[in-house]
Amino acid sequence: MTGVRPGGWVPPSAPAQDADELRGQLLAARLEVRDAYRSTAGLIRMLDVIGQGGAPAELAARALEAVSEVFSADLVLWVRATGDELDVVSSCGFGDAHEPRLPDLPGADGLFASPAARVWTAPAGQPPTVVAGVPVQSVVHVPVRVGPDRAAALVLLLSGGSGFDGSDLPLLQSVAERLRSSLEDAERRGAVEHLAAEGPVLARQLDRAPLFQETVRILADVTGAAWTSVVAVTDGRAHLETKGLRPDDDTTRWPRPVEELSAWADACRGAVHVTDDVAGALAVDLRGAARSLLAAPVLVDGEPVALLYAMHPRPGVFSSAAADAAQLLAGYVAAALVNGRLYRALSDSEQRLRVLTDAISDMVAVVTPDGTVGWASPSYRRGLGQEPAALVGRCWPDAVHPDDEALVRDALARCPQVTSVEHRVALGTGGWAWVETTLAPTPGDDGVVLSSRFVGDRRALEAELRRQATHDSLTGLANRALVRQTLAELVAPGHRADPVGVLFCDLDEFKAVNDRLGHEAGDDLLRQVADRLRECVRPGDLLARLGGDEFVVVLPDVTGDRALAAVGERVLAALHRPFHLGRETVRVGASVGGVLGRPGDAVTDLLRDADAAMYEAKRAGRGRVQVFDAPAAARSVERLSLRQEVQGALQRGELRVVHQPIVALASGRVEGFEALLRWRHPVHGDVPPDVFVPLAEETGAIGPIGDWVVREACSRLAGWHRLTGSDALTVSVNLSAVQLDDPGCVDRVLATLAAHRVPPGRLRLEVTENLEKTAAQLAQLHRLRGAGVSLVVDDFGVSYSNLAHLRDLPVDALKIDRSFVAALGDEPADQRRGIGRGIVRAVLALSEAAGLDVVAEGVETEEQRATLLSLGCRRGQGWLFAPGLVADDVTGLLVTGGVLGADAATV
Amino acid sequence: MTTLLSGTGTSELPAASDAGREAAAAAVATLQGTPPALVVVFASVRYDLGELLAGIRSVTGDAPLVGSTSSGHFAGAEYGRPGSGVAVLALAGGDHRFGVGSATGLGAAPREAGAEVVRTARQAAGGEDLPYAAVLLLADGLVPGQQQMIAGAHRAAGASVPIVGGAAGDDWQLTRTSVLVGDQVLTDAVVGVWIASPRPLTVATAHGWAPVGPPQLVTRAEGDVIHEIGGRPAAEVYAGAVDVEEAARRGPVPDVAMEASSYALGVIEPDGSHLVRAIYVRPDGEISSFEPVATFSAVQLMTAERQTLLEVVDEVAASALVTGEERVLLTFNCAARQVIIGDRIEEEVARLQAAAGAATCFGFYTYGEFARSRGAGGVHNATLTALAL
Repeated sequence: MTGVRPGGWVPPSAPAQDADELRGQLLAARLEVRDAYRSTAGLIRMLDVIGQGGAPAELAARALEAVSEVFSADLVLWVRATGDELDVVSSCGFGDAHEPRLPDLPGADGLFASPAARVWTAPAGQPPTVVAGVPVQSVVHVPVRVGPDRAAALVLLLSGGSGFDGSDLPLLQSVAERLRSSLEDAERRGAVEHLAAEGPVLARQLDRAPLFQETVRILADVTGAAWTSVVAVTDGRAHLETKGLRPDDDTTRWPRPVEELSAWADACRGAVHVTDDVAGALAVDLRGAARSLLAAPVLVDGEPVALLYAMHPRPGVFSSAAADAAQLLAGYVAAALVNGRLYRALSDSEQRLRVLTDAISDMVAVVTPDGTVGWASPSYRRGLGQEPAALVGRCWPDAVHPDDEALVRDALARCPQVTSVEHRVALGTGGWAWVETTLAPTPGDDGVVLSSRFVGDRRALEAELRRQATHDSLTGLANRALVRQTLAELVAPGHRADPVGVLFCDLDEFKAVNDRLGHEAGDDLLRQVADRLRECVRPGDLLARLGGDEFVVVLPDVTGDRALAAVGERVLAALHRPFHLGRETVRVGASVGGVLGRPGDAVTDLLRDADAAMYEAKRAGRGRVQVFDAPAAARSVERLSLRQEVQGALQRGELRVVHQPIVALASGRVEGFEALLRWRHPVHGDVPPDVFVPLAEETGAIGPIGDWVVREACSRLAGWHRLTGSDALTVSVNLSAVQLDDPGCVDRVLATLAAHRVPPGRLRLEVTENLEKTAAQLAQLHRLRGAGVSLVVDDFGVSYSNLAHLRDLPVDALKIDRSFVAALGDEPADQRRGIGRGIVRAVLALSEAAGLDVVAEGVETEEQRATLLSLGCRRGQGWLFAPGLVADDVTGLLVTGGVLGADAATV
Repeated sequence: MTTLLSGTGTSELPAASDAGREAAAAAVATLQGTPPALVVVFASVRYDLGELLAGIRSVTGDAPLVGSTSSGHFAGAEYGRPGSGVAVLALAGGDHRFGVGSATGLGAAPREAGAEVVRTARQAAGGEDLPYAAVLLLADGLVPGQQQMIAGAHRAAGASVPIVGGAAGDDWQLTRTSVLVGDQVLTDAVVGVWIASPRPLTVATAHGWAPVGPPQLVTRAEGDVIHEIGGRPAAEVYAGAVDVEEAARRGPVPDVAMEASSYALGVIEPDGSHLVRAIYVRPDGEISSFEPVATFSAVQLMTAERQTLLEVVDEVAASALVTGEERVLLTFNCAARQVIIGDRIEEEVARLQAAAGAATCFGFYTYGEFARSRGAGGVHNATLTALAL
């Protein structure tokens, strides 16, 4: 249309040029968008594959395949570094014919030793190194730290024309990090699932040989070990129960003293022993073909009775997940061993009972309902030394021990509902005997047949079994099981006001004595120590040996730290005196740690804290008493009291709501507010929401508090809507999962909106990403959404692993978590900033695709604001704009128009 | 180095064993009496496939044999339309070595099947003296999991071994496809040839499709159904983007179930190229693809012009023929291309043979093409892939 118009005016030829230019710009924009989508899709693809989980080996293989696909890498390796050794865990692209390995690259010294991600490119003009048939032109090395001296790395090998320029490095780092944690999770989950299925079966195995055979099989499965075995400990010697520790083990070395086992010291502490590489730790003849070693102790009554060994020819194979799994397995084995022992003891006792009842037949009497004897069998003469004829006409319960008489009379009155009773009865020769009397109505009249037999031996046996199960056989002191049981009773919620004291006592020189004078002398010493400790405690205190040279005193009533420390000092003084072992005189000394427990404390925590205090004492120089850090204990008490107080905070008027503006990032114009709950405690001052909100959730106080916040927010918003130009303002309120579980919650929210005449779309309820999403919760959310209330996912990205999650929630906006926003402005950490950008860009792309609005949280710097804007994020909140404001300040802000200076509005 | 001898033969005789015998006899005729080292067969599902194989093997004996049912095939410049007949390729002499393998249970365990077919074929090829190799795979075309099958094959073969091949067709009946190995007719299976070679082998790929519209993310997909693109119903996005009348004009085979086969989805690849995924509208209105498109894939709607599709045969032939000494161009052509190219399909075959020069073209119209060179992916749609020997 460039023709001459009737008016003679000729339009310039510019429109055609403009169109071309526009077309060019459109094409360029599309290419840019395509690139952004391509890298976003790559990241999402990786996260999706990693997030699917599965067995560790398969997960690794799939993830590396995805890396190969997404980054066009010919070969991909996942390697583990232990010390200087690199070990390939999984690979992609090597096929069956090539051993997966890292290449020797001329001129790339230190590439794989570097702790930072790097890209290496083959020098021009030289023939490329060929790996698995692939001429390698560039190598990308992305290391991640796994432990103090362990690392893992993702390695990509690319042939010519890859165009990999390093801009994807931050993305690869994020992928490698997530792969590492997913693999660890997968390993742990796999082992636990396996044990959950096999463990109970194991615990039913009552004979040792088949038990240990099963154990080595399961141990190999859960740790991935090449060789597994069981070593049992009896009388200080270690016996091979299965095959050797490895195929080349010299079995003539067995049995051997336990002290020769490198794992013994850990075993005595109940800890799993892991050596990443025995090459440096053991002599050549001892380590053989093995490099990695793991040994888990099987503890019965706190003492190691066996060790489960797992070994592998590669170094650094056993992760913490493997150690945890082995420890769990050891627990099952211990349970099976104890079950076996009890079972054997039980069958013995049953046999003995049978012998007894055969020898002494029951004593039978027929009595009236009030207990008058009508007839007694001749066996009364043999059994109780009483003439049957003399019993007739007497009251049968009169011969019963006074403490048991009421029980027996009650049983008589309630026969036949009560069929048996255990009690003491007078012997003709003086003294008392335990009998079990069964009661049966006589046929035809209202008399009762009493048939009594002696159960003293059985009761003694039961008591002995109970004692054995709860006491240490060497010293006669209580064992760990009894300590735990006693402590559990003492700290049961509501049990008592006075704290319970726990003292942990560890001998300082016991090992030296044991080594120098032998095992018997060591045992003798432990017995003497037990005697000395008995001198130090009061009648109600519990004294126990946990195993090895560790002793514990449980003091049911202690007034405080000082009293506890005083007992500790008494213990030290008692043990300070020399001990006489045969002709030798030795001094051992001890370190003592103490802790005060209160109702509601966990037993495990108390023992742990006492143990920690004991180590602190040892560390500070032996022969000391150390009581566990009181401020820490105070904090846990404080939490308890806060938990109590949060329930009345609303009634006492201690809660208030402040409003943080949500603004347009470009102009600073206020578009809405987030209502933030604050608690000013009369004593503690401001309590942070992340402390008190969980407490309110636990106690159910969140229900009324949540309703109140919605009412406050809606009433304020209604007021602000009346200001000119402010009727589009929204207010966001956090909604707890606990509130969603309340079926009346939605009705109350809708009623509040109606009461204040706030359009439902102006209220935005924020839920967290890790909502459980029960059917009931989803139904509530859909009702809110259906009523027009806007729903927002808060803290998005924190549990980013499962994107499918979002699809089920009826939400219309996301809030990017402040941690990602913070990474945008981190001056020195360029790479982290890259990751932050990548994730924010991915979230924005995802949101745009799903039609979701996005708000950035925690915007604190001008740089973050600029970056967010450049990435296409339009809304944000944070200290850069305003903190949470009281309602009056909000009104002022709305009247003046915005939170940024006029210059910012031109951005 | 001896020269690779090749011969092709086709037949449209009605009886399966006669057709097999006739095509095989023509194929071996040019081998100068050398026993075949490999026989490749593509056939219509109209035949009794057992009898067809018996007829072929009455000529080729125990020579290693693989094949599949097709939706049309070609030998040299000769086009065999869907439902018409059988085409046989016989190879002898030369310095390649061939091994044939197979694996069943493709649907239940595609990765394992992919790895197993490579391992059995490699073992059958014997020896490790030749430095290079490629794998030719033919799979049951109506079983899901082709991409996992290729991933499994890649796991066993390694990055240095390119993969080429296609998913079997059934003359557009979409009911039952089969693969052939020796005297066996298999379903739910994959068959393959390990080709060991003294020279690098190159797999060439081209599709000729061009993106229309902006890139978007697939926001919900399950199996082969694409529910949402960019957060909107996929069918709505698709309907808004395609020109239905234009599509109808381009899709000239009215009895085929693809109402708009001149549109496809392009999955954006790491290098910016597009992996074409043929799509169709199901009776319930949902958009479905022949190979699954993963949720959160970045995609663009693609369209194809008949002329551009025809022109890509030159590109594929040129990149596959590296030395000029090659004698055979094994080609896997998408059945969807056949539909779009329509009545000019014989022109396509003739053009391909012309571009191949001294090498003989041999191939079939597939329900999915395999071509893996870089990375672990490698299942294509609406594409042309080739390997020259």
